[in-house]
Amino acid sequence: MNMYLNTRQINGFKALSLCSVGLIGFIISLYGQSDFLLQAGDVWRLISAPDNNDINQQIIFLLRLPRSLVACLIGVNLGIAGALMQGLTRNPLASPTLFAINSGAACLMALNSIGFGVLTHIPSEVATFAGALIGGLLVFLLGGGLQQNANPLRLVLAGIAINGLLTSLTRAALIIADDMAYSMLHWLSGSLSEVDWQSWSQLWPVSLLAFVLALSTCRGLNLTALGEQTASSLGINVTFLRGRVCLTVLLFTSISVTLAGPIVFVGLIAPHLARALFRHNYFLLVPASGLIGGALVCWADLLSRSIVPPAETPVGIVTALIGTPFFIYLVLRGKS
Amino acid sequence: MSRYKQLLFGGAMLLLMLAGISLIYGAQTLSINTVLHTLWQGGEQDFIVNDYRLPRILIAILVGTGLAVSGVLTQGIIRNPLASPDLMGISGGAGLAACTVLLVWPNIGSVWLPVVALFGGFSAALIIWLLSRWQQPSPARLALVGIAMSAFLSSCINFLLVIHPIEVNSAMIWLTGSLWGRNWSYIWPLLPWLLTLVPFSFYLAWRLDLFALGEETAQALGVDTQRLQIMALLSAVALASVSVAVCGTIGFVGLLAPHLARLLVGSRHQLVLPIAALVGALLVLSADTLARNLAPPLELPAGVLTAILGAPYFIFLLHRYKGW
Amino acid sequence: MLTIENLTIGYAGVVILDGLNITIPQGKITALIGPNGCGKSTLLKTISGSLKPTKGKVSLAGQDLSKLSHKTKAQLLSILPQSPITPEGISVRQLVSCGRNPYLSHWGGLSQQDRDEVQAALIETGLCDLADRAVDSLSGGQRQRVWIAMVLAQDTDYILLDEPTTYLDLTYQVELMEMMQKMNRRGKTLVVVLHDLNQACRYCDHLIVMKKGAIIAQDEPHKVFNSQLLKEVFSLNATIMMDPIANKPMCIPL
Repeated sequence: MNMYLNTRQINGFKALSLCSVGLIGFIISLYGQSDFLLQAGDVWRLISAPDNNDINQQIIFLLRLPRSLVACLIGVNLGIAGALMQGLTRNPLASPTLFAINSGAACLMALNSIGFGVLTHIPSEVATFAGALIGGLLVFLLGGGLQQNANPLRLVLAGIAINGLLTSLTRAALIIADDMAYSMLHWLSGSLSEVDWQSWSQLWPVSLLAFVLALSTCRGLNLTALGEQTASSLGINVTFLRGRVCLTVLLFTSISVTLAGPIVFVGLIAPHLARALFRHNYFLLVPASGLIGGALVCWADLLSRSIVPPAETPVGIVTALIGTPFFIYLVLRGKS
Repeated sequence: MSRYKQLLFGGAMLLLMLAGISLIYGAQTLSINTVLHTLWQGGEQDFIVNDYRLPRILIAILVGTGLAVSGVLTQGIIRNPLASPDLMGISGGAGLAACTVLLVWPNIGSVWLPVVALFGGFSAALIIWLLSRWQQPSPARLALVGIAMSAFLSSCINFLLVIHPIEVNSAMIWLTGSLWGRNWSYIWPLLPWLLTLVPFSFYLAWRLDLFALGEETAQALGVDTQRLQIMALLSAVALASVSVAVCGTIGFVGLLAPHLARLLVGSRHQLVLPIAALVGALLVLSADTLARNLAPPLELPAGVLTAILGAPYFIFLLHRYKGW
Repeated sequence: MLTIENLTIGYAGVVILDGLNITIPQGKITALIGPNGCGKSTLLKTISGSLKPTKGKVSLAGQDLSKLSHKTKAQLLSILPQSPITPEGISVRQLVSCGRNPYLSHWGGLSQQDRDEVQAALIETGLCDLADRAVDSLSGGQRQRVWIAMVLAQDTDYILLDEPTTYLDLTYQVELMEMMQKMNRRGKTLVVVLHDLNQACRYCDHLIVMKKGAIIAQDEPHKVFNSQLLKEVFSLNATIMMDPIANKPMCIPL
């Protein structure tokens, strides 16, 4: 039976094709587009006959594998975060980028690295997390997130204003500390080139926790889709739900932005694609958005290494370049 | 004197005062007498006052006016509070074109840059216009397309910066919007555009009032809405593009000035236009003056300061606005 | 019994409801009537708990409703808002089964009993044939039936409806009012905001007449409904006649 309140219905074919698109991207990104001559066979040998002295295997294991894993998981995180935000605000345009989470993180990161005031004394991860928190909360509160039936446009406008403010602060920081401008710019565009196994070990526990939290909000989000008053009448504590969703989104995005910088548009596009496949049920939408996001970032990372080799284009630029035309298409196609 | 005239007069006085302050303060503080003397007769401070500070002040006023008028026109045509040259991708298009040219031919003169920027701005506007013809989206959706467009263009700019790392810093300053090193040679390409397009927008003002009643009503009242839309949009794009060409993408002015003006004098375009222009000029001039004086001799880009001044005010407006 | 004591509510200094004392009779259909902006919807929202009163309380069988958890409250009282949102593509059965949410454990799915209740609500509202259709492909009247079915599946003793007949054709309005009477005969207590005074008189057992945030009258229709009241509350000159079919008062504007 087709149930809205639990997870019984999964469309096997769609799910399988999604997984395989992601998996193919993942495997190709393990050996493709490298300065070294790596081949698919090396990946296979790493699994079947691991050899510590084989330089190709070592490159794949120490450099490529963590990078691909992190890319995938960050995509998953951003995809789910986008789906949750769109569900909570019932606004198809909500995304981590709109909520100034990325630019908040970037701003504090930039201020931290140029040694601004007290910010010098805290580790950059903490600064980034705090920035994400501040940016997101500012937009949420100023955009009328706590009021009933707040106009979605107001949220968009608040997002634009806060984004503009934080972005120009970031730029000012870059201009003042011009010796670090290039590396910061790279980070600000979202880059996976610094990722290693340590990033992976920071990433997965947080993501797992956030994922469990995300699943626990699915039913509430399904009911919130009927309107907040209806959801409340059906026994959902809407304020509590909002708090939980916000916390989840912050966990997902802040850990991702800390490790790889802002990777834009994934959180916006993945849920839209997922909705085209699985409609409105968040029990399906959340994992599907995650899968799509993961596949998207994986392929974008692969592309980012092949546009102008040997230089790496930051992956965030690639997602933006792919994402925008698609987004415009979505906006124009949708019903008014 | 009516309240409107008081407002206009007060604004002009404020602008004059700010210009005076801007002439006096800077890396080197001058006395009022020196400034006045130098303005009339030149002298040893001739370079600082007449060749350095004065043209910057004039450019700030012109650019502020241009951006603000452009904002009023875009908002009038798209009938959407979100519409503004920077959010509709026009500034982004102009920025991308200018940035590309700057990276490829770093020595291009100040005369050609506006032309290139104009080309970029028009191309971006053309794309958005074609998209809107194709699907006829609601104003809110059109604004989204614009936002996405500007995001797209700014990531194109980022891409250029990443693959041409040498010019990062100057391009960054330019992208944030700055009047650093702008002299008389930048005024002449700017002036003819503003002198023709600003009066032209007054000519359109009354029609825009009718247009605000809805497209069908305006047509019934005898306005050729399609021609009006094209003319207003073209003027808006041209104004925004030449401003961007001269001092980069200074954010928030095109969005903020019309809102503030409307808050002060209501919604009639004839009244809104001059006030918006004043607000725009004040905003850019004060941003530039602050930018020069916060940490001399280091200079912040004026665009950072318009954002710092503009964003909180914008949020405040949002908070007060009851018309949702 | 649902009682409202000294209920006061206001936003930003403007008082919307001013010290209301109301008793909703059990097992009856109560209609809330009054001119636009008199606070009917606000009252309904406050009863359902989605607005917090500035003063006073709403209690059900002696229990303060604001002290109950959301879930417990949702097992006692349900509300159908004026314009609920239909998610794109959701099927009738899915939407109706949302009504079972208050009875589910946090991670659990629908039990057999839940499914039976959903089926019963679908039968009750005559939606069995449409159960797998998408709600947004249905007509306005059918859609309103789906929402009623959801409220039925929630199986609460008290049901609040905010202007359920708005935007419906007359046929569907009558159908809906009859459905309300059917629910009432099964022991449900209903509170309905209505615009049509004659419908309120004909189908409801109890009227609460409001004006500017205050209660003007509350009693059975034939006791309160007269031309003087219409003059006072709606500034309407009308004569009252007895409806020959239902033998209830009805008004004819002069």
